[in-house]
Amino acid sequence: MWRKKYNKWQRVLAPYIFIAPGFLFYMMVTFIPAVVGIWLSFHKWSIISPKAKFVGLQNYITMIHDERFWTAVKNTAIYSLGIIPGIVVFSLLLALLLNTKIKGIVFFRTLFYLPVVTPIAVASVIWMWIYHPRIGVMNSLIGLLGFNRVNWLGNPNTVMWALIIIGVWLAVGSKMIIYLAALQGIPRSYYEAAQIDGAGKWKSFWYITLPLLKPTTLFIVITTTMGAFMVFSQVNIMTQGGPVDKSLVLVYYIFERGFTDLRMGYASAMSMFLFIVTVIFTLINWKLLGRNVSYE
Amino acid sequence: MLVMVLSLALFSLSVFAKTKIVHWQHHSPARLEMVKQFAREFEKQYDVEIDIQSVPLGDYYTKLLPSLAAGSGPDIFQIRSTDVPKYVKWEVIASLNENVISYEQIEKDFIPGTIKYFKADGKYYALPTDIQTIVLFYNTEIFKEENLTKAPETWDELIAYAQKIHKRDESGMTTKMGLAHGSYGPAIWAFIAQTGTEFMKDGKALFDNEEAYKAFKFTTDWVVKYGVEDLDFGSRWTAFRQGELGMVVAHPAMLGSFRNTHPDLSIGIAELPALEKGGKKTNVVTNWAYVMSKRTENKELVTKWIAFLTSEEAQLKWAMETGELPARKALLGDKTILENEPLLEAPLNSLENAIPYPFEAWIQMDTAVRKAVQKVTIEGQDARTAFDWLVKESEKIYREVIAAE
Repeated sequence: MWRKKYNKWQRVLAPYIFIAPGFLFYMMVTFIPAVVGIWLSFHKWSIISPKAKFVGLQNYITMIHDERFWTAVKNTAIYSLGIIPGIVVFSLLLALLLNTKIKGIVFFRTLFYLPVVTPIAVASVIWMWIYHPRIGVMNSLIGLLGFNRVNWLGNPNTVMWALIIIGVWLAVGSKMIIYLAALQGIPRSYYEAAQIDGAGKWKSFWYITLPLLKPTTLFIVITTTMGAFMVFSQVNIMTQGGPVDKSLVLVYYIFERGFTDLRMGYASAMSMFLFIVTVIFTLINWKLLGRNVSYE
Repeated sequence: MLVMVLSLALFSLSVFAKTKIVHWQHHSPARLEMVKQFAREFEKQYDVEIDIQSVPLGDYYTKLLPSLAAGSGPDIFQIRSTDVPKYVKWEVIASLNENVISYEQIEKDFIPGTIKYFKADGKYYALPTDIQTIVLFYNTEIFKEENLTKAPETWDELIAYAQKIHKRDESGMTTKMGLAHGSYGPAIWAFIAQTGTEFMKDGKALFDNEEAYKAFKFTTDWVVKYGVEDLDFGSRWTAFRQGELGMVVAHPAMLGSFRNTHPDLSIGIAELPALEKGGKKTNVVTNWAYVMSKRTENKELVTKWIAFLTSEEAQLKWAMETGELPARKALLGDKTILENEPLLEAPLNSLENAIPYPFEAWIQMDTAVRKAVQKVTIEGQDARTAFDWLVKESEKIYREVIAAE
C-alpha cells in the first residue's frame, strides 16, 4: 500500500523536480528580467540613481522620434537580410558536401565547425586583420583579381557586407551540423526508390531532400533571425556602429543608450520594440515556412 | 559547547580580520603594476588589505554600474572626471574626508583643469588620475629624411610638413602618410579650443561661431583638401609603429605603448601647433577620477588611500614609470621626471595650456564630433553642414543626457 502510494507520488512529483532547476534558472535570467524590462520601459532610471520615475509612454514617444533609432532598425534589417539567406544556403551546401563519403571527412567537418568554438572577441580581432586596408588578406586576394584595395570596415558602402561575411562565417558551422544530422536521418531507401523511378540527383534533391529538411530549415531560419536581430559583439569590437552610423545595429544602440547615457528606461523601451519585432518575425517564419511541415 | 566554540571563533575572526578596501579600475598592465606597488606600501603603513580588481575598459562600466546598483560595488573606483557631478547627484559617491585632505589644499595643489568637475556643495568628491592632454607625436627618422629640423609650430607648418612627408606610388596609393588624428574627439576639440572659443553654457552651444567652424574644417581638410591623412591606410597606430606615418595627434600615454611594442622607434613629442605664430597652444585635458562609494564603511581610510594614490610621491612615480601626466602643480616643471624621460617635456608643458574637457557628456560628445568629421571625410558632406549638425547635436545631447537628469 505504502509502496503504491510512493510510486504514484514519484510519478507525479519527479518530473517537476527534474525540471525545477531549469525552470528556476529560466525564471531568474529570462522571465523576471523581461518583466522588469517592461516595467522599466515606462520609467526613467539611470541604474544607480535611487529611484525610478514613472514617465508613462515618454520613452516610446522618444523612440519614435529618434532618428538614430530608425537608422539602427534599418541597419539591423539590412544585416538580417544578408545573413539569414547566407547562413541557410552555405550551411546546407556544406552539409551536402560533408554528407558524402570523401577522404578526410572528419577533418573537414572539424574545420568548418571551428568558428563556432572561436570566441567572438578573438574572431573579431582576426577579422580586423583580414580586413586591414593595407596589409589584410582580403585586399591581397582582391588585388590578385585586379581590384583596388578597399577599407572594408572604414567604408560606409562595405562595412555592413564585412559584418555579414563574419556573421555567416561564425554561424555556418553550427547550422551545418544541424543540417548534417537531418540529412543523415533521411532513409536511403527514398533515394533508391526515386532512382528506380528515373529521378536524377537534382530531382532527388528537390523532391526528397529539401521537403524533408523543411522542419530543420524552419528551425534554422527562426534561430538565425533571432541571432541576426541581436548582433552585438562584433559591432562593439570592430566598428562601434561606425563609420557614420552605417553599422549601428539595434542592440549596440540599446547598449549605448543604456550604459553610456545611463538611460535604462529608454534602452528598455527599445528592447521591448526588439522583442515584439522578433516575435512577429518568428510567427511570420512559422506561418510561411511551417506550412506542410511534417515531423514524422 | 560546540556552538559556543564556533561563535567564539566567528567573533574573533570578525574582530581580528583585517580591514579590506576593494579597489576597481579599468585595466592597463602598467597601471595595474603601479597600483599593486602602491597597495603594498599602503598596507605596510596601515593595517589594511587592498583588493585590486582591474577590469578591461570595454567591460568596466557594464560591471561597475550593476554592482553599484546592487550595493555590492567596490569601496574605491575610477570614473571619468565628467561623470562625477552625476554620481554625486545620484548619491552613489561620498565626499572625501576633510580631516585627511583639506579642500583648500586640493585647490592649492592640483591643476584646476583636472579637478573642475569634482566639487559639489562646497565638498570635493574625487581626486584626479590618468591625466591626458593632446600632443603631437612625430617620427624623428622621417623628419631627418625630409630635412625637418624641428616640430611644427603653427597649423600652416603642420600641413606643410605633412605634405612633405606624405608619399604615394604611381597608382596614387599612399605609401607613407603625413599626419593623422583618426577623427578622435579630444583631438578635434583641442584644435577647436585653440580658437579661444567657449563651448557650452546652460545647454547652449557657444562654439557656434566662425572661428570654431574654421578649426573644425581645418581638421577635415587633412583628409579632403590636403590629402595628408588617408583613411584607407588602416590604423594610425599600426602605421606610426611601422614608421609609415610621420605625425599623429594622440594622448601622451601612447608613449608607453609605443615603447613597449617598438622600443627602437624614433619618437619626438611636441605640443599641438598653435593657430598662428606665437599663439597659445591651447589643449584639452581629459582625466579620470578616484571616487569613494557612499556605502563604504571606512571613509577615512579610503580617503587616505585615494590621497596616497594621488600624492606628490605617487604622481612622480606614475609619471616616471607609466608616462602618465601629473595633476599636481608642484610636478609641472619637475626635473626628475624629465631626466628620466626627456620626451615628457612637451606633455608637461601642454598641461599649462590645457582646458578641462569642455562637455559633461564626454563619450557622447566624442562620438558626435567623430561622426561630424566623418560626415565630411567619408560621406563627402560639406564642412558647414556637418558643423551645423554638430552644434545642434551637442545641444540635443545636453538636453537628453545632462539636463534631463
